[in-house]
Amino acid sequence: MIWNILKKDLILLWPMAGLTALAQFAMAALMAASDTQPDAQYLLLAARLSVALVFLAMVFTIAFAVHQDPIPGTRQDWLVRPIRRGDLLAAKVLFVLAAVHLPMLIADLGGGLVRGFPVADAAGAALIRNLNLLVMITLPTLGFAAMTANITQFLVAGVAYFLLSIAGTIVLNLAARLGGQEQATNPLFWTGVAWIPQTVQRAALAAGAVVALALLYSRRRILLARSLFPAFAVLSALAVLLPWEWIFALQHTASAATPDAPVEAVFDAHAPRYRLAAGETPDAYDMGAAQVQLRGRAAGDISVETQSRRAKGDVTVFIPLRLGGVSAGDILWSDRAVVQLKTSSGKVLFRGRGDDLKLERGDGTAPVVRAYESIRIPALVFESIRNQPLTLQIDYSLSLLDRQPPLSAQALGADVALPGLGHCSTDRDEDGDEIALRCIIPGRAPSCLSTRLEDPASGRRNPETLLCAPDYAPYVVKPFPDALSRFEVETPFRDRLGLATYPVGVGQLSTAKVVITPYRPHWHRTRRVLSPGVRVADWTAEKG
Amino acid sequence: MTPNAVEIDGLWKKFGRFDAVSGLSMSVPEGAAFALIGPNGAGKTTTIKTAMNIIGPDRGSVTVLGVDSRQLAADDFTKIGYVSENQDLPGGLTVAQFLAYLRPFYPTWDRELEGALLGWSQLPPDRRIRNLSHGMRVKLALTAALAFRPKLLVLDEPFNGLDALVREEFMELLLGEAGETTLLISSHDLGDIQGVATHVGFIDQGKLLFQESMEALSARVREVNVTLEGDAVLPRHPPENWLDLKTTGSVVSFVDVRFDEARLRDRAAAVLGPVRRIDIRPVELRAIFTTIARSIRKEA
Repeated sequence: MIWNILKKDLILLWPMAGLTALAQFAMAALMAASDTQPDAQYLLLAARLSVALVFLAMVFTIAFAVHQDPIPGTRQDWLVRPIRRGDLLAAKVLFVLAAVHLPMLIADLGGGLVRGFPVADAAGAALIRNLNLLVMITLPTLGFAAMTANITQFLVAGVAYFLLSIAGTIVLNLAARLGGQEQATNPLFWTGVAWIPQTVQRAALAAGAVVALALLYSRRRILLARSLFPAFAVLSALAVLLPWEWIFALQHTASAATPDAPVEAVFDAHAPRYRLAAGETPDAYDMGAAQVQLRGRAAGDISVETQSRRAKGDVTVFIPLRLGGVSAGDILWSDRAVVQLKTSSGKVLFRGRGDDLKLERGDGTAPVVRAYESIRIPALVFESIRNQPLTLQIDYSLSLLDRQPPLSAQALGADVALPGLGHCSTDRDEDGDEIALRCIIPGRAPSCLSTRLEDPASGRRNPETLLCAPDYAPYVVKPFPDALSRFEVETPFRDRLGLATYPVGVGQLSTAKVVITPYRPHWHRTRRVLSPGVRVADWTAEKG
Repeated sequence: MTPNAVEIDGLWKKFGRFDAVSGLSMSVPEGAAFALIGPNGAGKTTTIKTAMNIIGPDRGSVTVLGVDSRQLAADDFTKIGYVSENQDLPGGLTVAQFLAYLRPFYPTWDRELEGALLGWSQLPPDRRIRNLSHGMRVKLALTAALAFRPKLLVLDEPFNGLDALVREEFMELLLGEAGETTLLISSHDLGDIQGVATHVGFIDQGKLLFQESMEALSARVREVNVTLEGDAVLPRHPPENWLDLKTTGSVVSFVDVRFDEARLRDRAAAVLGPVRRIDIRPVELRAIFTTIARSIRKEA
């Protein structure tokens, strides 16, 4: 019976299935072409457009397949045929797998193989993307389509859902702003644990779809399905509001097999005030570049984040800390720092987030190092508490990233496979002052990456550039545009203003190498810094 | 006693605030050709769709071939054929593809009968369903419903939109296939199924007004023309069973729905006055239906 229904749907929908497959293959070809000509903007644009096309093709193919034998309605032929409802659902799922996911798998696998990745790597990445899209798009679309009787209803409901999502986003953001939070709709966007709420969101939506499909195909409970699925969608949207403590606890649990490290952080009362470097402002935010380069995020997101972080008229206070217990070569990364200033009776006078704090333990550095946690306190609050001795409490969610063996490639014209980084090529950037290292990998970009130029002939080395955009997900969360991740890091060899000269400059480029050190996250724990008698006025920055 | 192929017991179905079916009870004996008659909006389609488990009842129950309609499963539908005027068939399939699609679902599908039905219907096998005329689509649905020799064939207003010739052919086919198949056919026009129906149920405003065999119905309904001695005047309070009363000169005519020849003359004399002559004629099913319908509307 299943085969019979499937065959009927294939007869009816083969042109649509063919177009969907064609769109997926076209997208794969455009991505491949774009990868070989990274500067060809038209190819990049066409590839991005093809992503939207593939998305629409997928959604409509699924909807049309379901609507060949719709659930709502009283006129459909299948209702009075000897068709088991379970068989009908199985036939629809099989059709979607055959018409949407099989071409996707072939395109992704082909994309990996064409670029020379081993079959296992290419197939693994293709399968993960397939599963990701099955949960993210296919299941919700199947559920959504099954609740509607035809494409018109599907479109109207889809537009309504889209508009409600926008309205919900606005409301959530407004509520969060009023509540003093930064980004409500995606507060963890920049953090390594962003995958947890994203996974919860996807799982909630997929679970809603599964419940709806079960109700619709087993009992034709249309009203109940139409009530429950949106409820799951709301739950899914609210997953971004999961408390940080829960999310980080989950991350901790996921990495529980890693033994605890003797990491400690204490307030350093004897430290000097923080001294601003030349050109540095207290609002400096340097995470954005790594997010763009390692995670492929849009540069526009950074200005949004920067703006949201730049509070009006806030006073930046730099809390000195002594950090210890970090093994040589590791990076200690602060995923979140919740700072509280309390009176001796426990009354909280200030509660806020610390900025980015990271500590890189070079091979030769001391086991205990000094760092500063910057916090922004609203001016009025600062004035009221500036000379008051308060109890400082910082709750850290920390991660350790351990250094992987360094890799190297020729600074110019390299096209090599680097373990853990994929296929990488090097070239001068458009401005001619940096070496751009571009990598494609059937998996994720590393969470942190340091690069430097080194000339083996002369033994000269340029300063290291460290980029961190942590991602602790156990799988590749982002399924678009394809199963491959792309990242590009740049390491300078010339100062365009002529203020500085690099040991490895233009003259050494022909023999120079780019040395790349990836870092892998392996430890996630919380630590608390507690210190009484702290006066915030003592810890504002000194100008350098 | 003949078991019933369809048994409806106190069926209620509401759409919003509108009662489509209100406490309807009726039974279709096995082997019968049951005509469910009623004006448009009477509740015929709702009753049939409930029987086919296309919609669920609010109250009451329908038993079809011994199975509660809400429990009708795939296996049960191998014995039930269904044709509706507004059935959505897969328009992208050709006639041949549609029949090929259905064949594997029915263990009793008879290829020879299918061939014969196709011969009768003259359906072009390579034409897509969406390109068939309404009449052809109904023929195809009937072909697909008959080819597996169903135990119960349910036809919901199958004649709507069909021209006279197609109706005639349709009836011939039904007559030809009548036998072991129980037929439940709904229509607002009795004339179409007069030659087929063995039983009739009359439904209006969601209620069953009567149900009986055609034989009994024909026996109890007569058109009566009473010629009086003087000029005819319509009685103020005619008997309830005299419907559609009319006068022409000295003649009073009506339809007697509880005809009793032995008592008619005395009754007529008592109600109308001195009677000179009484002429009695049997009534066609269509006329019975229209008379009863008219009478109900008048009362309403």
